[in-house]
Amino acid sequence: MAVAQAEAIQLPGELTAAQKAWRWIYSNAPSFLVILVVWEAIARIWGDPLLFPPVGAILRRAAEVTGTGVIFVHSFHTAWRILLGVLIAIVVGVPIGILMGRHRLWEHFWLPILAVLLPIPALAWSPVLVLWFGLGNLTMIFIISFAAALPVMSSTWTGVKTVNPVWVRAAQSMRARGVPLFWKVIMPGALPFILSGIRIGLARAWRAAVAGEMVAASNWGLGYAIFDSQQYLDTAYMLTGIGVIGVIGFVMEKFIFQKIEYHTVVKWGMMAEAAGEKSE
Amino acid sequence: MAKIRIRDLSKEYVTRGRKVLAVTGINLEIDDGEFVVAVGLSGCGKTTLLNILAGFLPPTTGEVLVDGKPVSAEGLNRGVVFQEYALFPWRTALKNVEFGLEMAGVPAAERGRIAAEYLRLVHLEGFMDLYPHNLSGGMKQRVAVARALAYGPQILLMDEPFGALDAETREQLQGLAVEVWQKTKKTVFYVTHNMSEAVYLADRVVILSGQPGRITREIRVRIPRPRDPLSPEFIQIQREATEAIRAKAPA
Repeated sequence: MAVAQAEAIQLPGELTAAQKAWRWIYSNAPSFLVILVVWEAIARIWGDPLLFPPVGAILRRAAEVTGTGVIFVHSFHTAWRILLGVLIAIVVGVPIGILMGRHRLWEHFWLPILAVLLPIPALAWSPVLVLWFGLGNLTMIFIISFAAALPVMSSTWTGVKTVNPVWVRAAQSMRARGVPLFWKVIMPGALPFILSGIRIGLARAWRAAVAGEMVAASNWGLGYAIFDSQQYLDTAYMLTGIGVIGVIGFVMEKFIFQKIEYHTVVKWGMMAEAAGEKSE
Repeated sequence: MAKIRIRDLSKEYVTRGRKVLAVTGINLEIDDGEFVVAVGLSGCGKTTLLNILAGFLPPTTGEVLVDGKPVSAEGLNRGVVFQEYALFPWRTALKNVEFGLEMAGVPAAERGRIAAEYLRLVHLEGFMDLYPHNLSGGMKQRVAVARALAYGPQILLMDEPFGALDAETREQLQGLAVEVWQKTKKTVFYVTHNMSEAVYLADRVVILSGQPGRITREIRVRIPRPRDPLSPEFIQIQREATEAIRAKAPA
């Protein structure tokens, strides 16, 4: 991620946007080219375009489903489930994490629960949830929120626990306590951890969403599309779906997450190194 | 009347079930506008004493009176400058200095004006909008001094504030500390283990030694400011202070 890092710490006025774009393409394109060439070679040696379609066929199919818009509908369904699920995870996980960090009792109550739940893949719950809520959005949102909430909770807890005590003491020396101390010191102090928890949560939400859609979604979603097209031996379509997941994940990371970090913890010098790195 | 009066103070900590007496039998009066420096080897309890004055710790016995009223908690009549860099990274220099004013309920427009004034006092008028991580160590401590003064405490408590700085920056900031003190006429209680720094800054050097720490000696420094650390009378007092510390220090 050396390139992304160089971009993230770019000082204003050093390179134009076009130059940056070119530099990015220049340094990243070779990896993708090599993969495409190897893919094409395997496709020709294999010789079965149905099971292992050549690059051209995949691109044609991708253009087709893009043209009809069906892939966008699938993407939209997956994306809103993920965003809503992560939002719920944040709304539930951050406050619980904070309470755990601030109050002994909450910590004692939640720590063992976290320890047991954290290693369980969210997908393992899906058969139970399907029984309870049936196929569809409710089950999906449950799976996604659950997958994202645990890392958000545990990172927030760690962040609140490890806020630099010197900041707290300095604030207390100026009579900060209670609510102002919390909002003006504890929260910004814990923000690097909270953000990295949300980032891990988002990554888990993606996995849970796509896998969950294969077993628990009805009719729409990228995971469902990939799973469904397997029945028609539509390998090119499956691969298109997989590619779209990659692109959306990249866009979320690059244009949402890194922007938020750049304007907060990176600007404050609290996370200079992590600017261009993925934690998971 | 004394600004600060410490009476028969002692402090006992409990660590891992064992009681440790940090300081004992402390009696000290600090006049309004006086610059008092407490020196001692590490473990003599000088920081403990400062923390009690700040209200971070309650004394085990005895009491601290500020303007005749006992200290029981932190208060806006005292400003603290810490040894570690204690600025908030998410606030610019100016916003850091505004923090205490926010806590004091000063309106926003007023806060900016006052904070800017105090940053000028420490010669950082050009750096108000920078975040702490873009400031040098010396600049950070200047902001910390401005922050501790901006909300108008009459007492400034400084816990080895320049200990982490390189020698040259430390000298500059010692000069600045004297300048700021002369301009603002605050009562200063300053803790250090650096003898030369103590003699350079203080109206009165208070020597803490032993375990538990006690005040073993007080030396009034009457050399006019600015002081020359190489002058014979400076060296004489520094030697006196050094000997006083060694006299009762444990081996």
